[in-house]
Parts: sequence; structure tokens; C-alpha cells
Amino acid sequence: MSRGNLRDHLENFYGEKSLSPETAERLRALAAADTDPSHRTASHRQPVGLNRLTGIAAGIALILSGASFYMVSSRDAGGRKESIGRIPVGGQVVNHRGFADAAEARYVAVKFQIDGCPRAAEVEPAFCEMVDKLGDKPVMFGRYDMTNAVNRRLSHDWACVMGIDWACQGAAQSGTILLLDRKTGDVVGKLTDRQQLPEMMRTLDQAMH
Amino acid sequence: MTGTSGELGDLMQRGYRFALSLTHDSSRAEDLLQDAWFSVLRVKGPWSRSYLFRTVRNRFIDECRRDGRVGMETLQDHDNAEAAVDSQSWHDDDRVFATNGAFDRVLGNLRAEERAVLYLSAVEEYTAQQVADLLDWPRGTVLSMLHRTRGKLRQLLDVDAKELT
Repeated sequence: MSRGNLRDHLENFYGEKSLSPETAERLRALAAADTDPSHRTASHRQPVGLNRLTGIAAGIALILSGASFYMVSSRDAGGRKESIGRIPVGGQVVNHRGFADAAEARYVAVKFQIDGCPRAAEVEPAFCEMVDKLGDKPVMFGRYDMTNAVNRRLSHDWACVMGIDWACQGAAQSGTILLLDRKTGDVVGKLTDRQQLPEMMRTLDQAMH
Repeated sequence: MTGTSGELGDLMQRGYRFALSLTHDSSRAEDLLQDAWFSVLRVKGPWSRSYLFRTVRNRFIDECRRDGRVGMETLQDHDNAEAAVDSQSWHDDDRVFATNGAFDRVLGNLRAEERAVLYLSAVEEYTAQQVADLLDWPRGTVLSMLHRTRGKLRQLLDVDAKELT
């Protein structure tokens, strides 16, 4: 038992509570990414910097964003192949170095999808093949899941932190793959189910040169 | 995003404690704060205490609605209790209180908005008008709720203390 007024007791009670260091670190990293002028989302249409801090923050955001968005391949800045496989990020241990490097890739190929959408299903094999064949390019492949409100929200949060939300807000339909240049903030290629794989590969290849 | 790392850390902890006052559950409070943090980042809102608190509270209401829980409610019918409240009432009782564990238990019996008003007033030292602005309630409602909640808390603590003895 202790003696004191109610205010003191409330102050003591709440004063003893603090955020866990892990969560604090995550939030700090996200806020730090926001201080970087190059991290401005492209709703302002500004070029996106690809520094390591942005990459780390994006990796953290990926972990936070749950399994609705996952990367399927990456290549490091030196062009060495670094396959990180298909990694559902929700609550799983991931290779942070891999994520950071992948997040530094200049180009991002985002496949927009809704579970059960025939167009998205039709593009899927070609998308997977592109991941394999374009392994030597500085491109990160990802999925933007729009199946339900929660997945849309999580995917949107991820896209915001990556600085590609400008391209992901209602612009693309399910079954579309957009190739985004994070350095210039432009959509440099758009692929749909109406294109065959060789044509898609050519479009991607041309966009990146 | 402006401010030093220390200021950011302080803001984070305050945001967490406010979320905790609403949820009375540490893991839910962390989730709520993260959610609010994302929102502030997304809209590039100011890194101020009041903005973060407001975002946390809005997220909490969204969460309550989504889960079908009873969320924040206003007490418009208690506006006339303003006269019953005076600024010294925090200090009018130097008395025996239960331990922190019991205090935790008793706080858990209060409603979310009651805990939030108590927290803002006692810990953050917000004035009634500031609390009213933050919660979008009339000032009289805040004062009456504060008065009733303090009374309720004392009553619950007395009951708890009697049960212990």
C-alpha cells in the first residue's frame, strides 16, 4: 500500500510503462526515413533516392506490412545475383541484408492482384518467369495485393514507405504489372495479360535501357 | 519530420502511454501506436503530441467500430456537472492507495474514454479545454467525466483495498 494523491499515483503508474525497444526502434527507423528528402513519396513526383537508410526502412515496413506483399527476387548494387526467393514477410525471420539491397534497386516491377481474379492468374506464370529471367537486372519484383481492405491498406503502407504509392493509388487494375523507376519517379512500363511473355520481356528490357 | 532523436523518443513514449490509457493492454497499445505512426507518416502530418494523440484516438475508434466493440461515447447529458468540479480536486485526498497491481486492475474496470480523460488530465496535464479539443467533446462534458471518473476510481480503489484486507 502507498500513500499519495490520485494524480501522483496515475503519474507513477503510466510513468512506469514504456514502449518495447523493438517497436521503438522500428518506429524510429520509419520516422528517420521520413526525414530523408529523397524519401518523399511521388505524390509530389520527386525522384526517389536509393540510399541504404531508405532500403532498411523499406525492409522494416515490409516486415510490418504482413504477408500481403512479398518480394520474389533481388540483385545487389554490384550486379551479383542474390536470390532471396519467395518470402512471405509477415512475422517471419527474413534476411535483412537481402531486403535492404533489394529495396535499393532502381526499378520496381509491381504486380497488382486480387485473389481469384482471372487476369491476375493469367499473368502469374509470366510474372514468375520474368523474375527468373531478369535476375541480372537491377529490378525488384513485388506484389500489390488488393483483395480486401486490410490487404489494400497493408500494401499501400508498404508502397508509401517505398515511395511508390503515387503509382499504386487506383491507377492499376488487377493483372497489371507496372515497372516503376524509383530514381525519376516515372512509370516506365506497363504490362498486361494481353501481352505475351517475350513481348513483356522486351518491354521491360527497353524500359530499363 | 523534425526534432531530435530524444524528442522523437519522448513523443513515441507519450503516444504509447496514451494508447495504453485507451486500450489498457500493452500489446494492443503498441499495435495502435504503430497504426497511428503509419498514418502520420502517410499524410506527412506534423510530429506533435496533439496530432499523434488525435490520430491514436481516431485509430482506436476505427478499431472499436471494426470489431463491434463499444468505443468512445460522449456524455452530453452530463454537461451540467461543471460546477461540481474544482481545480484542486486532484489534491483533496491524501489517502491510502492500493499497490500498482491493484491500481492496474481498477483502471481496467474503467471505460476507455474515462481512462483517456484521466490520463490526459493527470499525466499530460492537459487543461479541460485542451482535452475537449482533442476528444471533440464540449468542455463541460470533459469536466463532468473527469469528476465522475475520479469518484469512480476512488470508490473502486476503496472496494479493492477492503477486499485485500
